[in-house]
Amino acid sequence: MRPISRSVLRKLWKMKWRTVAISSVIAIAMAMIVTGWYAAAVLDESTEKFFEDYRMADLFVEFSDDQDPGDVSAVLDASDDVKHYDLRLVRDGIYDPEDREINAVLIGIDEPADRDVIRFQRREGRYFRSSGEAVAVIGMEDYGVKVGSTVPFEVAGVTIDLKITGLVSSPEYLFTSAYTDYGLPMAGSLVVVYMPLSDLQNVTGGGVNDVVLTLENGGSGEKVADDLERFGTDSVTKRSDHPSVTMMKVGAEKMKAMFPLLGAIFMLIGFISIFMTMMRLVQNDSRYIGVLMSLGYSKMDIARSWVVMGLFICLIGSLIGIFVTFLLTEMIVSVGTAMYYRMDLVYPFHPEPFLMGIGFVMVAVLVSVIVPVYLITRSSVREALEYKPRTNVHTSKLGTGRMSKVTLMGFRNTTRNPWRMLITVLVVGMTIGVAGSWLVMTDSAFSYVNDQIDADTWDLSADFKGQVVADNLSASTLNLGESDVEYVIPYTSMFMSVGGSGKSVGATVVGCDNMSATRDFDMRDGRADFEGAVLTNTLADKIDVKTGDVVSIRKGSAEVKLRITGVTYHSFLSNIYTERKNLQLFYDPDNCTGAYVKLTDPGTSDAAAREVRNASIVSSVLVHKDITETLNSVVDDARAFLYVFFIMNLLITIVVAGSAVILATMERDVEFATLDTLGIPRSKVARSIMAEMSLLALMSSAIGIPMSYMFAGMLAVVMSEVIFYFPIIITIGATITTFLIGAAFVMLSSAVPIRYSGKLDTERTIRERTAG
Amino acid sequence: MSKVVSIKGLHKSFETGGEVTRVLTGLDLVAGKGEMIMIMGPSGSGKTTLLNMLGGIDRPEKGRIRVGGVDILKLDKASLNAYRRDSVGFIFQFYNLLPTLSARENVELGIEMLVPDRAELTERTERYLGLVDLADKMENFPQELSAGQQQRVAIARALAKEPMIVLADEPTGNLDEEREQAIMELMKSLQDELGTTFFIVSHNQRLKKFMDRTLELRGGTLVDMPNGGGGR
Repeated sequence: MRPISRSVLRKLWKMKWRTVAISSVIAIAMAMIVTGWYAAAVLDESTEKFFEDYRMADLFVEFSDDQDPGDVSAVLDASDDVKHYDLRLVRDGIYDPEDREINAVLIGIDEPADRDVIRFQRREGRYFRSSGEAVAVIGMEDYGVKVGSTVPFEVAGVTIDLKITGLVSSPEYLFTSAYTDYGLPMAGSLVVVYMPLSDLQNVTGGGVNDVVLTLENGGSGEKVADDLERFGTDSVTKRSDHPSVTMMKVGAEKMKAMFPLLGAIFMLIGFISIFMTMMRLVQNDSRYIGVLMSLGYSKMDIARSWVVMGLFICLIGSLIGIFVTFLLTEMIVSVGTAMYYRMDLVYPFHPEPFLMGIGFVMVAVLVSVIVPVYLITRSSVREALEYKPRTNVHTSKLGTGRMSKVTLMGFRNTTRNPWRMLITVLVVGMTIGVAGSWLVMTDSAFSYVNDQIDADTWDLSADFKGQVVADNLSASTLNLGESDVEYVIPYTSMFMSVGGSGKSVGATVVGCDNMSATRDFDMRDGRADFEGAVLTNTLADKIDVKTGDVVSIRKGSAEVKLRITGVTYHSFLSNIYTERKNLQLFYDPDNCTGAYVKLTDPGTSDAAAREVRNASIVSSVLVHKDITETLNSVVDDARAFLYVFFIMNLLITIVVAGSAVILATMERDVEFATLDTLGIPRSKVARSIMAEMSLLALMSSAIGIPMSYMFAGMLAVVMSEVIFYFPIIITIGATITTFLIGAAFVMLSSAVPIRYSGKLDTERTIRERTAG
Repeated sequence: MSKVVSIKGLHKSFETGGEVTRVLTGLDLVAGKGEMIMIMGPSGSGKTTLLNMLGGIDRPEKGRIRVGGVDILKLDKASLNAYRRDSVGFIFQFYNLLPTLSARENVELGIEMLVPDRAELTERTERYLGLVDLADKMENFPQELSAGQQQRVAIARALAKEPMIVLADEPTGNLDEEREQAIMELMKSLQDELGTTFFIVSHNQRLKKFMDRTLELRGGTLVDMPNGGGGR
């Protein structure tokens, strides 16, 4: 290595803590860029491995009625496409602890251990071994479903007592939600138990009504579904459409979609931070560069030596960056998934994001080094020797005469270099803005979600066992008194294939003749005219249609085409609402499959739901209040998760603010030494620094607020594509929290200059920096 | 004349590149109240080091420094701060003014903890800035002042404290002869009125006439030199 390069590297070694600080800024910038992509890859890979390890089924088939297992087996055994299969009996039931009724799914299976399809992850206890025992999907322990307890379930009017011998995770119930139509993983609203098949058959009759299977390599799921059609399939779900898989995909997609945006923001923040730091570093050594020029070194030689230094900083920064990336990835994926299940994380070899991050760091550092070196070396040797960064400061009369002069000095120091202050405030404000955007988004999304749920006017939604003549429906047929209800509105709900603009998806089609009474429809466009079809925006966006287009609804070979009269906001449901007569091709328009019930006193919804469940025609009941409660609990979980992001981003604020103020502090060491010679105590100096930082904090936080809305708006656009649409609203809570916590975190970085000034060697500073 | 400063057996050395340079080798000094002492010596002889030790911002390896009857080497950090605040006025060669404070505020910064009464603080600040001929520049910031004016603000900041001792490093380096004369007369008047003891490091032979004693730092100790004759 050439002597001048060695000399520059020795300089780095001499200022080791500053080197580490500069490298940390670089590392954080790099980590933020890389983490999004890498975390998505980790989530993808870990989920894939989880599904493989736990034998997630490739196809889920439900029959409308119970079938003879021998008949179904014969078809499946004959198929070359099927690798493994399991025949099950699945029944909806009710778990009825003291305070509320909870929906339950009871699944009869032959063998709980070492299964070929849907293998369990045993979390506690043991598998069931004999009649009367069962294992439950983990997550409902707070409701009494725990190992050792005997839990009563009501199935088809019969009570079964099951002793829970173990708790398991099941790949098909990562999200134990009763509200399968809702596109949110609302875990904790459903009890799922796996029990001996014969026990369930003894209660509800023999037979099976559910098949889960894995396919041979190259096997066709469609062909198997066609083969099983003869048994009267109620639904066929491919693995890729299963809620467990789609939810995890949404998670990974969300990260992939969000983090490039965050990465771009942090690239900008990182670049400015790195540029400011490196620029100052080179400028402080301008005299040394002048000396090198006077010794005859060419511009290229000098630039090369600084490039060596830049590369060295890149190396340290990248190494720390890789470490921080793994740390952040672990944190994000673990926190994100811990809400629902436990999985071992797989870290795939996925070098692209890292190479991109390192590439960015190199460009940022090298530009930051070369620009000042170029500026200095283009002058004459004499000018280079005399070159000094601007030492004059911007003066102002900020502050009152009655203020302590030390505090006054602190306030004025904020504006001593207005351009640098502006850049610092902007950069720190941006980091606060990114942090705050999580809160704004959370509040906006969940306030919107609550509005969406509150738009429903019904208290209960009863699903019937079969079709019921709508005209015969009344409060009494649902075991309720006429005075107990405001309305009973029949509907017919079917899951069908819905298409438009060449795209086709599965969606729920709701036929109802008094739809507008059941919900306050908030229209995105068009009108709530159910003569035609009203689509939720979630569905309209999926199949890329708008008001005025035609939507086709298919079931088997039957197809109905309807003109879209409007698109209504609904964040979760992929629904079509229309009048029942429009669906007569699929079912008798005089019949219905369920009813919305509005109670006179919504406070009695639990008791009313109990009565409705006992009605002979009813198979299950959704209590609106329960959806709201469950949603609120999801909100709380998600809020905690998003607060982690908020705090994580604020940690970056500390690093960015800290690195900016340490630069400002270091060039004021003579001033700190002078204050010491004047006998001004360290506590007063600290107060002065705090005054300066408080102004910086307030300005940054103030800038951070509009930025948080701007970034939230940008992220919401991304979110609407991967999760659901929600408008950004002005939220007082998020604004105040962003402002106060953001300012507090900036203030925390004042520890850096306070410590620096406290440790300053006054004598040495005066001797070295002011000697003639 | 009562004794204000007593230094005994002061040793100080610096290590540069593995080589130890002994700057002070058993230096002794006694200064009385209201004495004005000039310290001369070649560059690197330890003049500034001696001032820094008297000001409590540097420590010797060996020796004793008593100022106003107090052994300052035994003081803890807080007491040393208080000592500098109450008893010492520093005048730096390069002024060390705070750039974000005006001339008035720089002077007030040095004395605001000593003079809690605002009216008195203002009066004293304006008086000393007037004495250094800067009454019309009080609101100016350092960068709006010439080098000489900045030096006079630094002098006013040190003298306004009315300290027990003033430690001045080339205090008139940037002043013309006329201003130099005026500043030295101001110091002399403080010396007379308040009994302030001055230690002035300078190469300026013209200052000798104001001195009570002139000492030269030679071989790590102080040697008496003949005065210009202006002292008392």
